[in-house]
Amino acid sequence: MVITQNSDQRNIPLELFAPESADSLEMERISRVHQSAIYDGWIRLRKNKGALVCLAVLIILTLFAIIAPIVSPYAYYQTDYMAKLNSPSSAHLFGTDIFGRDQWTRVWYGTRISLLIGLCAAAINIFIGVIYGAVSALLGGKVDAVMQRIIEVLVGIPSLILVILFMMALPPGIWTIILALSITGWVQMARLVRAQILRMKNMEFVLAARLLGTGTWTMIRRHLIPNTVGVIIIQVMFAIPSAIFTEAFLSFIGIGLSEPQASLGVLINNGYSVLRGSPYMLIYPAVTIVLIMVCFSIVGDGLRDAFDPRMKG
Amino acid sequence: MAETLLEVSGLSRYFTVGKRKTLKAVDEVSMTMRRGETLGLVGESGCGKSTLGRTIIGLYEPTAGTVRFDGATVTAGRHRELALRMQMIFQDPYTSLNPRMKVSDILAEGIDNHRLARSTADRSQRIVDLLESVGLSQEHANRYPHEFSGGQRQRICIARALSVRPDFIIADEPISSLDVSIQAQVVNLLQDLQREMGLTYLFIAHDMSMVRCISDRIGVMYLGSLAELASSEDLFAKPLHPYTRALLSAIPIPDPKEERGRRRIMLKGAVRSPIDMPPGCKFASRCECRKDICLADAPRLREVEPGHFCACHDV
Ligand SMILES: Nc1ncnc2c1ncn2[C@@H]1O[C@H](COP(=O)(O)OP(=O)(O)OP(=O)(O)O)[C@@H](O)[C@H]1O
Ligand SMILES: [Mg+2]
Repeated sequence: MVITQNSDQRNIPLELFAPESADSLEMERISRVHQSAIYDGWIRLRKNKGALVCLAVLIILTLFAIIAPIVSPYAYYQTDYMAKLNSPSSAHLFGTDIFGRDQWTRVWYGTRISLLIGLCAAAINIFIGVIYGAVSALLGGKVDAVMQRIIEVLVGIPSLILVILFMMALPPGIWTIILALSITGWVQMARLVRAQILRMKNMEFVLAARLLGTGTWTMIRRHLIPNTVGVIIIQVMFAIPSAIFTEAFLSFIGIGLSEPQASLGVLINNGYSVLRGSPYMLIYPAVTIVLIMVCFSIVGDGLRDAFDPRMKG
Repeated sequence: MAETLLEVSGLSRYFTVGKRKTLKAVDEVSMTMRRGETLGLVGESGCGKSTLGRTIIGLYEPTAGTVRFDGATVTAGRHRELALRMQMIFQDPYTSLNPRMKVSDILAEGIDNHRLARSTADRSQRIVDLLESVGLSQEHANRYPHEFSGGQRQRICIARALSVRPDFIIADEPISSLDVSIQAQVVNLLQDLQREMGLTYLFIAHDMSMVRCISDRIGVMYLGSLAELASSEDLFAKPLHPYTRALLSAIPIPDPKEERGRRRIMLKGAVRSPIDMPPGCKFASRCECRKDICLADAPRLREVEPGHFCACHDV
């Protein structure tokens, strides 16, 4: 087979050979299909089935958290002493707790509160972290040095102790938790944003823009922010579950939200106390929080793979 | 054509590294450039070519010395005024384009900064003209940088530098990250543009043969200082500095007979660290014809023959 091919090649008449055109345009015409950077990222995210499934799960959970407590015939605080610790039934899908409150309503209400806490804490983290990191990187010099020392001090103190002190000093409630989570939560974001901007400040496209006479504000708006958004989004995807988890932990050890408020942590705490007789009290909120944590992490990983230009194949 | 465009005198740029250690990246460089000429700057990696280019264009504040452009002193950081006079093309076309901007916006940045376009139509016409002048076409305007090859990106960088109609362009190894076949195309493009627009180039490279074909004059740098500066023909015909001779002997010659017959100068010893350099000639540690004076006293760049400058005690 190989031999015949070879002899075939030898028999090709010389006239058929023509010099390859070295036209530069012709040579370089082969280029990728037109895609915007965001669309490009979406295409790659779409190939990641795990991340897509997790994204769908998160959307469904969020919808349930918003809608279920509204359409439910019971309120999350509504007690019924005739129906204490009922097992799951058609009247109470997830059963009832020791005060006869409908667990289905409370699980979704708790999910709503947990998500709210996660989202608000993440939003505050972005706000403080991005501004702090950007100012630190852009001003540089002494200002940067002082701002970095402050961060180091904050990192040096175990954040859980700070959070617990804060919770004890202020009246309990959702906003206290959100504030407490924000005291140290922004540090990671500030560090990432600073590192990214410092890296870009000496990149050649920024130098080129300076040489073209681009001013400081245009530089920030046109060059620095758009190239930092990816880092911020990915960090948010990790900040939300971490805030949800810390809140659940605080509620579980009894210094988070208090009755009749419900978050997933409060529900797990309640379920834990009646674990022997009524395991369903623990299982449903526990499964929900695990789903939320896992899905956020996988979607976050997927986003990082999809938008990180270094991964571009 | 003998009009002086750029005058660099005693230019130094030091960096502080570690605790109070000084790295003399550029050390007392003086030279002049005429309008319309191409000066090639060669030297091995780390000898301060990029730092010299960036100090000339005002990206770095000089530690000492001055840069005069067209009679006026260049102040570092004043890019709003400098932009219309000098521009730079960078080595790596992958990091020199903002990945989040369309090509049309990249090319329009300078035009917008200086309000060069009279109308929106004029603005888009300028973008199309720029693209065509570097061999790209209108349809590339709405694309993002990641859709282009390295050579195409470097063309976009060239178009961006031309967008503000500068007189002087510093090209910092514009071809060294490209394929050999694409290198020649980009060099040809740069030469065509020079002819059309009367540009002056400071062309930084470390490939001697490529520099020879594009440059009118060549400067050889060694550890932050100019070792030799002469017209291309002079430098290749009569290299004076021992370092230049070693560099030239390393270029392969396409004629095998000649190639076999010639002597190759192998440099012995290591490059000195540019940090906290002792006095004396920087090349002394590797020089074939070292004398006692070379260790005590640094040679100054002087005009050995008309137009041929060399910094060596031996010539
Ligand atoms: N911002 C900086 N801070 C400290 N040292 C620097 C800085 N920039 C450059 N240097 C040092 O200055 C010296 C000259 O660097 P430069 O980039 O100018 O070399 P180069 O000749 O352009 O090399 P190459 O051919 O690799 O591009 C090097 O030793 C480098 O480590
Ligand atoms: Mg360089």
